[in-house]
This record gives sequence, structure tokens and C-alpha cells, in this order.
Amino acid sequence: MKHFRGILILIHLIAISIAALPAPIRTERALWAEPTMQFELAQLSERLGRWGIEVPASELEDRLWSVSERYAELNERARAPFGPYYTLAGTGQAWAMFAGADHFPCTVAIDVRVHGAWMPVYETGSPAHRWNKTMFEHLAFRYMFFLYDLPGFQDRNDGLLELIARDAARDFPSAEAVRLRYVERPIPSPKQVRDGSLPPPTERLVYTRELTHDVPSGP
Amino acid sequence: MIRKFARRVAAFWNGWVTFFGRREPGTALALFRIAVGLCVAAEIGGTVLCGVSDAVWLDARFGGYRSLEPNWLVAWLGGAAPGTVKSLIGVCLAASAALALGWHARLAAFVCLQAFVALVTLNRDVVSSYTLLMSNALWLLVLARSAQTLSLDCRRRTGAWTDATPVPAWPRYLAGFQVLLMYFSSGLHKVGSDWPLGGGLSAIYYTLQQPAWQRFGMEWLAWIYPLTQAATLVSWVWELAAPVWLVALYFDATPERDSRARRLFRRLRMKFVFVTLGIAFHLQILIFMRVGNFSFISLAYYLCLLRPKGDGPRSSTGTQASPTGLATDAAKDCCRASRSA
Repeated sequence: MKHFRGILILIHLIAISIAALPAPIRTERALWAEPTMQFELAQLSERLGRWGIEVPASELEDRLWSVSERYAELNERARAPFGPYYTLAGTGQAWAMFAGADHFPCTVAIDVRVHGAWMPVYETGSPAHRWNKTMFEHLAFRYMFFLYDLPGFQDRNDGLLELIARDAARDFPSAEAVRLRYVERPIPSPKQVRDGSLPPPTERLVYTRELTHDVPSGP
Repeated sequence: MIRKFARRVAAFWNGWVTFFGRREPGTALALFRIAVGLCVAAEIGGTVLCGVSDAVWLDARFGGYRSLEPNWLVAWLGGAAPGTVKSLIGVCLAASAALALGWHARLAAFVCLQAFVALVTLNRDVVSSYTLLMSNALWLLVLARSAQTLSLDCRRRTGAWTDATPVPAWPRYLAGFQVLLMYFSSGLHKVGSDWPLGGGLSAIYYTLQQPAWQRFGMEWLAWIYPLTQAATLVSWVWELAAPVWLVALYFDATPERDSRARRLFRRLRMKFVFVTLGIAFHLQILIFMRVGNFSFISLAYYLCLLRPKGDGPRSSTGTQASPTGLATDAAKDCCRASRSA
């Protein structure tokens, strides 16, 4: 019995250790066009240049993509035998936490159009525009807002806006439309903050939807 | 040569089996069970109370904002429909309460695990890494005898809330390994240009400026930037030093042995250093960032780093254990005094 237990513990440790190995997310190449990724590649290319290894960022991207694909395939093969164990026992591991800070994050703004004029109702971090803040500031929604400005996820915004439109139609009876804006706010370097020269925000994505107010039917 | 190698493997295996065969009072595991039950309840309950559950866990066919890929359980139950999601929420909350109270704890942990995993993996866009810490903890609690003490089961069985009967210690060791694995893996992932391996020391500064995660404006960090650089270096080294911390935990779990390395670790108070830095790290996250229950569930694992007094081989009869299993020396002295009286 004690040897059997020892073997099972060993298998468990091997399974979770393999799962915890860094694994690049197998994704579309288009995601690498995202500003933070391009920033990272440019930084790496520059650093290699300082060490005497001249690789242009575009070539570095091609090479890293190829290595990443091969490694991801190998990683998937190593995990495969333990797949059911991860699924049924909830022993999966994914610890890419704060692996790289986003230098060009977006905040979200939601506006409603009333009598032809747009009126802000929610904005990330704004003390003035706090509509539905309990929901929008829940971690799940912050994940969505964090993710859905990225190239591979932008198609999710139509459904998300429909969801927001339902609540907006209920809470703003005179509103005609709702819009969701992703505003890119580059993070200033410490020097920029100290000098007071903050980089200006730019609107990255805008989604608009007309509202339909369901009139309760009479008896 | 082969015989020598075989002897070494056999010795290693015997050591392995003996180490994982150790027993100890179940107090640390009981505290871990209570904390995990509360964390899971807070995670699922918080999602419901904030009105987010329908928005993120319903499939587009039933009013959600996108098509979901349910796990085997939800698929078997007919998909992410309102009735299914509400039932899973109810089951998960009830099971997490039963787990925290220690009522049929292993069954409660298993039911809670399945309902929890079914819910949190419904929408992979919004799944947090730390929910994996919760599911891993629940699995260890399925395997552990965590309701031996400080539980309704204990009360029903013995008539008291505490019971010093030793339980297998290996689930506690695995919990310690799990939390170290998280740190080590997290450290290996940190290759971005803001981390030391990428040539920078600005990661903590930039991470704390993320509008999605920061609790309040953090521009003031620009004036203490060198401190954030030092914090970046310390947290990165601390994470990658996980194998050293693992050795420290092993030495701490086997205090009856002695060696030069053990004496060095003891003198440098390595376990204390690890735990102190870890608690500081999680408190910093709790104060400055809004990342759900990450710090709470991580700190719940730290309860498994508590070494119950009287563990190890001597405790196999339970004679060395105090009623709570975490007695201080003073309490032990009191027991001795009352016995002699």
C-alpha cells in the first residue's frame, strides 16, 4: 500500500510539474501584431544588438514564432498523457502571472446617446461615471475589457455590447444608442511622470449599437 | 556499478515512501480546509452578488454574450442554460460551506471541485489563474483527511471539536509543493523586457500602473522608482528560488535529522525568510491591486507550511501531539505540569 501511494504521489508531482512548464499560447500570428508584443520584440532586438547580435525585429519575430510553435507542440505532447487528470481532478497549472506588463493598456468608456448627444455613463477609474460599476469592475469584466481590444478577441465585442445594451435600455429609458470605446493610455515612464509630460490617450476601438426599448404590452 | 546504482535507487525509494508515510496531527490541514472552503464560497458568491454570473456563464443560446465551450459535466447537463448554471452555483456554495464546516469533508471537496471547475471553465476568457490554485486545493482535500479535527465530523465522532489523532501528512506536503511550483513557474514565465532576465527592473512599476488591476492611482511610484526596481528584483529572485525554499521546507519537515546543510538553513532561518517574503508579497498585492481572491487562496496554502507540533515518526501514536496540534512550548509545559501534578 505504501509503495502504491508513493507511486501515485510521484505521478501527481510529475503531472503538475509538466503542466507548470511555461507554454506559449498557441494562437494566431496576428496577435503578435499587438503593440505590447511589438514593443517587447523591439526591446529584445535592441538588446541583442548591444551584445553584438544584429537581428532586425521582424526577423526576430519570424524566428521566435517558429521556435515557439515547435516548443508548444512538444509541450502539448508532454502534457497529453495527463490530460484527463488535469480535467477531472482540476490539477491544471497556468502561472504566467504578470509575465510582461502591458505598456499600452486600454481603459473602457461607455456612453449613451440621448436626444442626439453622447453622454458618458461609465469609464474605468472615473469617480464621476460609475453606471453598473459593480458589474463592470468585477474581475471577470475587467478581464474581458483587458482582452477584447486585442486582435484575436475583438469579435467578442458585438456580443458584449449587446449585453451592455440590454442593461442600458433598462436604466436609460430615453437613450437611443449605446457605445463602447477602448481608449489606449500608454503608461508613462517614471521620468515622463516626474516631468509632467504624459503621453496622450488615443481611441483604439469604438462599437455602437442602437437601443430597442421593449414597450410592455397592454392587457 | 549497476548494483551500486540499484542500491541508491532503492535507498531513495525507501526514503520517499517513508517520508510520504509520515503522520501528524491534522490541524494544519483542517485550517487549510476551512480557508479553502471560504475562498471558494467567496469566489462563486462574489460573482453571483455582483450580478456577473448570468453575463459570463450563460451560453449565447440562453442570453449570454458569446458561445461557450462547457466542460464534460455542463455538456452532460445539457449546456450552459440558466437552470444548469444556477444549480451548479447552489451545489458549489453548499459544498464549500460543508467543506469549511468539515461535514463529510472529502465528499464535499469532491462535489465542490466538480461544480467549481464546471463553472469557472465555462468562459475561458475570464478565468483567473488563481482559480487553479482553488481547484488544486480542492483535489488535495479530496485526498486528505482534513476533517480529523476542527470539524463537524470530529464533533460528531468524538464529542469534541478537536482530535489529536495523527493523519497522513503527505497532502500537506503536496500543498506546500503546489504553492512553490506556482511561484517557480511564474518566475520562469517572467522573461519580458521589464524583468531582470529581459534586461529591465521596471516590472513592478508598470504592473502597478495597469488600469485593469490597480486599486487606485499609482503615479506616485515614479518618485520612488528605485524602490520598485528593488522590489522587482527581490520578487523575481524569490520566485525563482523556489527549489531552495522546497529544500528549506523539507528540512523543516524532517527536524529529527541533522547535517551541515540543515544547520546552515536553520541558522539562516530559510523557512522564515520564505514565509515572510511570501506574506509581504501577497499583502502588497492585496493592498495595491484588485486581482480577486488571489492573495487569499495563496495565503490559505501557507497554512500548510505550519508544521504541527509532534509530527514525524514520534507522532505516529499521537502521544506527542497537543489537542490542537499546534501547541506552543508554553502549552506543552502546562500539560507536563498538570500531568505531574
